[in-house]
Amino acid sequence: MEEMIQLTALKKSFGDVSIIHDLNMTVHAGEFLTLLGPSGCGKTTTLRMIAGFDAPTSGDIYLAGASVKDLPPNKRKINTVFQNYALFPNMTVAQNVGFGLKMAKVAVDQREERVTGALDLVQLTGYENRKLDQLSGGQKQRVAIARALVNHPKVLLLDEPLSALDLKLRKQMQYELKRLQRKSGITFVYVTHDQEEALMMSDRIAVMNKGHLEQIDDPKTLYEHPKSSFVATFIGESNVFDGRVTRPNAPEGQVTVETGVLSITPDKTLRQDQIVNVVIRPEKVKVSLTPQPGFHITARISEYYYAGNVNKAVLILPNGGELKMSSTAQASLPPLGSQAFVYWDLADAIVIKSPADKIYNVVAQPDFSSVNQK
Amino acid sequence: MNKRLTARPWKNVFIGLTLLFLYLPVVVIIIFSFNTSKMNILFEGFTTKWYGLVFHNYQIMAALKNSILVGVISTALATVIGTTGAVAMSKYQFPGKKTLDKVLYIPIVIPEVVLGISLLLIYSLVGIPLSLFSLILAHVTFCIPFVVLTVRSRLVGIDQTLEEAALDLGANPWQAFSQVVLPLLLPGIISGAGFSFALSLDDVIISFFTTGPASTTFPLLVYALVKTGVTPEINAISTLLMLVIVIGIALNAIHQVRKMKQEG
Amino acid sequence: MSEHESVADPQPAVQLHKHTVHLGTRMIKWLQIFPISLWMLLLVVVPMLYVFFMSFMSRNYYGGIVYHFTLQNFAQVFAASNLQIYLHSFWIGILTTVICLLISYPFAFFIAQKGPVAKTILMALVVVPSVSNSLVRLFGWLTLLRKTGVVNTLLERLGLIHHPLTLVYNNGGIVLGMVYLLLMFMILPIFNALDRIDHNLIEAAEDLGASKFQIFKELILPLTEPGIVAGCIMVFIPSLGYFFVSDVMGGGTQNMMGNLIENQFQVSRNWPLGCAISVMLILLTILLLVIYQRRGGDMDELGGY
Repeated sequence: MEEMIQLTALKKSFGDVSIIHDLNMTVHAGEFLTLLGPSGCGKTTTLRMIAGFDAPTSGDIYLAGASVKDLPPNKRKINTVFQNYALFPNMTVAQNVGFGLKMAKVAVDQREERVTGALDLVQLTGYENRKLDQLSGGQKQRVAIARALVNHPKVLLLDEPLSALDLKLRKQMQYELKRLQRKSGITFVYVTHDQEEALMMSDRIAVMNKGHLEQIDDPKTLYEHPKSSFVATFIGESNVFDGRVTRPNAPEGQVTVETGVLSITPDKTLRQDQIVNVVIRPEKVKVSLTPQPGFHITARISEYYYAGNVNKAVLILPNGGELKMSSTAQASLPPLGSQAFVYWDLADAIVIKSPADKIYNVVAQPDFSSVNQK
Repeated sequence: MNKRLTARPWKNVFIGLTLLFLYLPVVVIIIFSFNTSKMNILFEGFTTKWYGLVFHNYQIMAALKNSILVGVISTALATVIGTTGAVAMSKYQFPGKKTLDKVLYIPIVIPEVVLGISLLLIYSLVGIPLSLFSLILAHVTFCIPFVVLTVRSRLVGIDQTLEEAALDLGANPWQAFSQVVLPLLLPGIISGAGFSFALSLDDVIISFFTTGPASTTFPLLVYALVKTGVTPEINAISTLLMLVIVIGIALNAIHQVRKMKQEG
Repeated sequence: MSEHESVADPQPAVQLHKHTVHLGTRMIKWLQIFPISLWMLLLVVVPMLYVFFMSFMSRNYYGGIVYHFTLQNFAQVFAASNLQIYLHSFWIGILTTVICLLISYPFAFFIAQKGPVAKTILMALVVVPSVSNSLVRLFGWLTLLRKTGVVNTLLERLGLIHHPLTLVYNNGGIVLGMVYLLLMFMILPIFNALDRIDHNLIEAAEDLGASKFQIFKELILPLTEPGIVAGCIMVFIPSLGYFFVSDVMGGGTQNMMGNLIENQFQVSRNWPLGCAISVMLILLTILLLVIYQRRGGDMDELGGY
C-alpha cells in the first residue's frame, strides 16, 4: 500500500514539557485513519505538526515520500478542518470555500465552478451568498469541510470536527464524512477522543496515550486483540484483572488474581509466574449459581441496569472491586444480591503479557476465605 | 445588569442632569456663535455672520490648519506604528517585550505636563527646533499607546486559528494577515485612529511645551484668547468642528446599533 | 469531485531551504517590532530618564544648565512655599476625584441597567462633548458664570442680586473645570466594570436571599472596585498636572502643581527644579499604579477599556 504520510522518530516538547516522544507512524494513501486518545495524549499536537502549525522538536514528517518538515503550512498540500470551524467571519460562504483557490490563483470562473461543486458535495447547494451568522452549527461544519476539500488536498486533517455538534447531528455527520472520504478517495487523518466515533468511521485507528502510540490497527483487531490494558479499557468497556500465571499450559492455562483463579486458553509463549493482565469484555462475562470448572471467582450481584436491548449489571468482587457485565435482555439472571460464580469462554479472555503499566495488587497466595464462606 | 431594578423616573432624571452638565457649555458655545454681539454676555440677536468671518480670520485659520495637519499626520503615523506593534506583540515573543508593554502605559498614565517637559528637554538636548515637526513627534508619542490598546482589545476577540486556517488554505503570511486578520481588525484600527485624531486635535498641555510660536495650534490659540476674551468666531468654528465630530460618532453609533439589532 | 488523480500522482513537495524561510519571517518580525520599540525608546524612555538626570543638575545665574550634581533642587521641592502648593493641588485633586465618583457611579449604574441600544447611545452621548475642544468648553462655562456672564447678568436684570456673584476665578471654578473635563475618565471604567457583571450572578444572589442593598454591597460594589480605582487614578493624576484649568478657571491666582512645573519652564527658567517636581509627580504616579496593580487592577482599564 502506498504511504501518504510517514512520521519518523517524531518528538515535540514545549519548553521542558515533552508532548510527543518518539512517534513512528505511517498513514496509507486513501485511508481513513483516526488518532484516538484521551485529552492531553498528543493527538492534536501530532495533527498540528502534520499541518505545519507546530514544528517538531526532532524527527521528520514525509508527505508522499518528500520531507515537509521545513515547509510552512501554506506550502503543504494538506488541508485542515478545525475544531471550531475557523471560518472567516468577514466573508460569505462562497468566499470562504473559494479562499484556498484564490490563494492558488485559480481563474475566477473555474473557482466558481469548483466552489459550487464542493457545496453540492456537502449538500449546501445554493448557499453561496449566505453570511456565516445565517448558518447553523451543522451547516458551518459543512462549509469548513467544503473549504478544505475544494483544494483537492493530498491529506485532509480533521481536528475533532464534530465535537461542537449535538448528538443527533453528530451521528448524521459521521456517516456523511465517511461517505465523503470514500467518494473523494482523499486520505483523512481524524482526531477524536470519542472511541465509538473512531470505531465507526475509521479504516485504522492509532490509539495514543501520554505522547506515544499504544497500538495502530483496524477497529476489529483493536477491539478483539488489544495489545495493552490501556487500549482494552479505552476501546469499549473492559474488566481488567491483574494476575500471575500459575500454569501456562495444558489442559488449560491458569492465572491467579487477587480475588481468585481463572482459566485462559493454553499459550506456549507464557511462562510460569509471568505477570499478565486478563481482559474480559462485559458482554462475555457469564454468571452461574453453581461452580464452573476452571474458575474460582465469586461476586455479589450489586446492581442491574435496564438499557433497552441489553441488561447491564455490576458485580462486586470479594476485594471490593467491580466487575461489569452485560447480557441480552432475554437472558435470565440470578436475583439481585445473590452470590454468583463468574466464568467465561476461554477464547473470550484476552491475555496481555506486558502489563508493566498496570500492576496494583498481585498477590502470591490469594486468600480464598471470603470465597469459601458461601 | 438586572432589568427588574430599572425604570424609575428619578434615575432618568439623574442621567439627564449629568448629560445636561456635560452639554451645558457646549450649548452655550453654539448659541453664542449665532449672537450678533461680539461680547459673549447676553444673546442680542441672531446672525450667521461669524461663520463667514471666521474663514477670513488669518490667525484662526492658520492655527486650525496646523492642528488639522498635525492631527492627520500624527494619526496616520501612530495608527501604522501602533497597529503593527500591537499585532507583533500579540504574535511574537522577543526580548524587551514586557518592558515595551510597560513603557506603552507611561504616556497614558503620566501627567501630561511631565511628558510635555520631558519632550521639551530632549528636543533642546538634541537640537530639534520647536516647530510642526517637533509637535508631530510629540503627538505621535502620546497617540501610539491608545492605538495599541484599541487594536489589542480587538485582537483578543479574533480567533487565532483563523490565521492558521488561512495559511492552511495556501495563503502566505502576508495574505493571511491582509485578507483575514486585517479586515476583522479594521473597526479597532478605525476607532484607534479616531481616538488619536481627537486626542491630537484637543491637546493643550503637551503642545504647549513642544511647539514654537510660528506653529501654534487651535487649542493653544484659544488658550491665549480665553484670558482676553473669546470671539464669536471661535464659537462658530468650534461649533463647525463639533458638528463634524458628532457626525462621525453618530455614524459609528448608528452602525453599532444596527449591528446589535441584526444580532437580535 | 474526482480527487483520485491528485492522490495518484503525488508531486514532489517544493523544497524550500530552511534558512530562507527563517530569514524572511525573522525580518518581517523585526520590521513590525522595530518602529514602535524605537519610538517608545527615543521619545518616552530616554526623555523620562533625562528628566531624572536633569533633576540633579545645577543652573547658572541666567537659567542655563550646568552639568554639576546637586541635591539642591530636591531641597527646593520641599520648601515651605512649595508644600503649600502641593497640599492645595492634592486638595483640589481629591475634591475633583470624589465629586467625579459621586456623579459617575450612579450615572454608570443607571445606564448599565438600560437595554443594549440605549446603552450605546447614552455612552456615545457621554463621549461626544469630550472630543470638542476643552478650552472652548471651559470658555463656555466662563461665558455662563463669570462676573459679566450670563447667570450674573440675568440675576442682576431680574433684580435678585445687586453685586455679581463670584462663581468662577476661585477654587470652586478650578474644581468645576477639573470635574467637567475629567468626568468621562471616571464614567468609562466604572461603566465597563458594571457592564461586565454577569446577570446570572445577580440572580444567583437573589436566589440565595440577598436583598437589593446586600446585592449591591456584597456583589456589585466589590466587582466594580477595580473600575472605581482605575477611574480615581485617571482623574486624580491628570488633575495635578492640568495647569491650564487653574489658569483659566482660577483666574491665574491659584497656583497648582502643574502651574509650578509650567512656571519653571516658562517664566522662571529653572529647568532642574521643574524636573525635580516632575520626578515627584512620576514617583507619585508609580506609587498609585503599584497599589492599583497589587489590588488586581488591569492596566488596560486605565486607557478606558
